[in-house]
Amino acid sequence: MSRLENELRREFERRVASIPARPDLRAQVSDTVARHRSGVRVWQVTAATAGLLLLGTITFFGLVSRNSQVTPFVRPWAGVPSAVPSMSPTSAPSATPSPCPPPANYCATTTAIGNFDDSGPSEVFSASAIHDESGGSAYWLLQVTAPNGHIVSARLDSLLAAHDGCPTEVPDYAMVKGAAKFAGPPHDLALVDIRRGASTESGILVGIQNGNLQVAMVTNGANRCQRIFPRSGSVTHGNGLACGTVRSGPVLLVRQVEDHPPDYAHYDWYQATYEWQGLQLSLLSLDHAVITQNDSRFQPSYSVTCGSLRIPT
Amino acid sequence: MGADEALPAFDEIIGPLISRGYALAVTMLNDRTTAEDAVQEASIKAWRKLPGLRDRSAIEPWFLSIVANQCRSVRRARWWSVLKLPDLRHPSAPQDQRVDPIDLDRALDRLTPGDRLPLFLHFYMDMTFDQVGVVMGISMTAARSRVYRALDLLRSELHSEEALDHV
Repeated sequence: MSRLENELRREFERRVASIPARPDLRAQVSDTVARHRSGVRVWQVTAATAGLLLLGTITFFGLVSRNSQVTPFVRPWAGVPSAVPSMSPTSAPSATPSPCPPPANYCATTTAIGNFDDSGPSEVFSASAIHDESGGSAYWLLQVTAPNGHIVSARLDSLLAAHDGCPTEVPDYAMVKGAAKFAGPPHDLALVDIRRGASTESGILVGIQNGNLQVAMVTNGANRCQRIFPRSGSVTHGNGLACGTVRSGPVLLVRQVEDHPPDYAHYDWYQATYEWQGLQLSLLSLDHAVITQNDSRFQPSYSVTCGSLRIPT
Repeated sequence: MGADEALPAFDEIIGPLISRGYALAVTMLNDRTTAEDAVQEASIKAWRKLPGLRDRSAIEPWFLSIVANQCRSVRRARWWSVLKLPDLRHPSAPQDQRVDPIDLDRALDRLTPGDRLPLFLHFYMDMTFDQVGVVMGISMTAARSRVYRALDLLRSELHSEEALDHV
């Protein structure tokens, strides 16, 4: 082996040694694999159930359409007091059911109920996988359906396209997790998951602004362009969201805890506070502390909490 | 083998490879938390695919190929897991613990990740060209070419460094 190759080996050794893994990485990964196994089972059962429901609804519409023209199907949402996420086959009649789009291979329609357009009665926010007439390319459609039948909709890929110097974000799927007044009353914003890792899930906040569906985005600071917010946690960090108030104005609290080496008994806790300006998020403050698991700030950093919407780890 | 039977096999077979997977990930990503996440994600995927692995003797390059793919995916997907709050990082963060840069260090940094990877696999992990090919998803011949091309690029970068030092 030449001198350069020997030096190369030593340089790689030095690089790896300079950024050591946490000592219990193997145990943590094994634990996550074990926990993920049960999670996959729940996911599979849920998807299978949703698929059966979707099939039933399609059959129903098929039978009805033999004798009558199909009219838009609206779920019975009126009178529901709070934003409640649900999984149901509420696809529009024009949606052609076909294999789910990769890579998630997940295409159940999900909904949440809330006050998205400030029109008074609650509306239904939904995310559906739509295929073109040839059954080819698929996309995700987000839409808000009002009691009077008025619909505001947008394709997910359009909402996440390059914008204002910010790069395109590519979603894997869309799953509505619920809705809450993240940006203060009266408007609800929907939390829509678009990616899923081993433990960390990532979503966007979607609302109506100027009559159109738009995605909340950070407009300044180190995280400018951030539209996707992780939640739950991973082997090294936890991520969460919460709504709050600063000087009577609504704010979004983006939280994170992560290992504080070298002792791994303490954690770095971070909180970014963003002020809402429409659906734009402007950085107000950054906070940091070194805490233990017993600190009251630890657990909320793994969850989403806003009004009635609470998604724990 | 079903998924349930695969789990004990995961602990037994994949577990010992976690540290090698981390070494690969941290070399590709240069960040501890991101590398640990990538190894975790890769391990989940490996567990799912383990029942389909026929040749257990090839498990290391197979697993490392999943880690490498995950690292490429992480590089593409911003905001995947960790909020970046660089201004608040405590000074003892691992990325700040590096020794003073040397010529080889700087020259390696100037290579693309795609050129550093075959060097790492061949010269640090002691993988054969065939195994490097498995991890990178290319043929053995292509892997050998990639290793030697990256070595040539590295020599070229080192000569540039040397020339600059004498200016």
